[in-house]
Amino acid sequence: MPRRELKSGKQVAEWLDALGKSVITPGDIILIGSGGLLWHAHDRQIQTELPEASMDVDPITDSDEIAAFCYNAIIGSEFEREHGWHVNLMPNTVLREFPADWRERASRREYGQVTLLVPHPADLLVPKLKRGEPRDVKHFEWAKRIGLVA
Amino acid sequence: MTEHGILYQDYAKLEYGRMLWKRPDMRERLLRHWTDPRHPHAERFKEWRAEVEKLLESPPDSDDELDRELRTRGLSLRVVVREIPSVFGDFF
Repeated sequence: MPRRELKSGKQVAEWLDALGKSVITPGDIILIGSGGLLWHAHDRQIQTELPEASMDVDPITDSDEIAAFCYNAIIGSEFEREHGWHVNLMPNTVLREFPADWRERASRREYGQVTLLVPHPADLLVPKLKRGEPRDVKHFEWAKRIGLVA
Repeated sequence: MTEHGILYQDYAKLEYGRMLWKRPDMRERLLRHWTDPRHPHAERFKEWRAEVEKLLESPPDSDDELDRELRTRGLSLRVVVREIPSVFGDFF
């Protein structure tokens, strides 16, 4: 079976489309990690794949309806079997890893009743560079190469 | 890590567990999953169920108070949060 994993922004956008169609009550979602970087690439119509594919997206939400949707795509789920990646909900407290004013630079989009907030690529890279694992460095270099960050 | 020394991944179980606990359908689904004999921590959950349920019923702004109360009994928020079982998508 070919490797699927998460390597293109289109995969993230399609998942957000499905989320927007499913959710009835207005709610917010924040996308961090490499899923956020891929979303930015897709938003700028950049099709270059992530050099070291990710296995999950890391959203944060304050909506129980969105959280329930995400639980249906957790590790080991039918969703993961079908798509090759899963959804890994992160707590709101993780946002303290970002610069305090990240919201001022974030991108905002609506998907049906869902409001998506994605921190600026430079802010998304702050915790990655702090961690500094080889794949984090590769994601930074990729973001720089495709012009997401200067 | 949170101010109570809890790993973000562990704290996510509390934050979203609280959120989903309010929905009767999801509460029932979580309990069915955690008591399923296929769940590797089903027996452990039986021992900790009362403490875990108390945590999941608590309001999000009660962490400090909960931690103080748990410490009087030789526990801590960190210890009990770690007892919230994981959810495995293959039989959730």
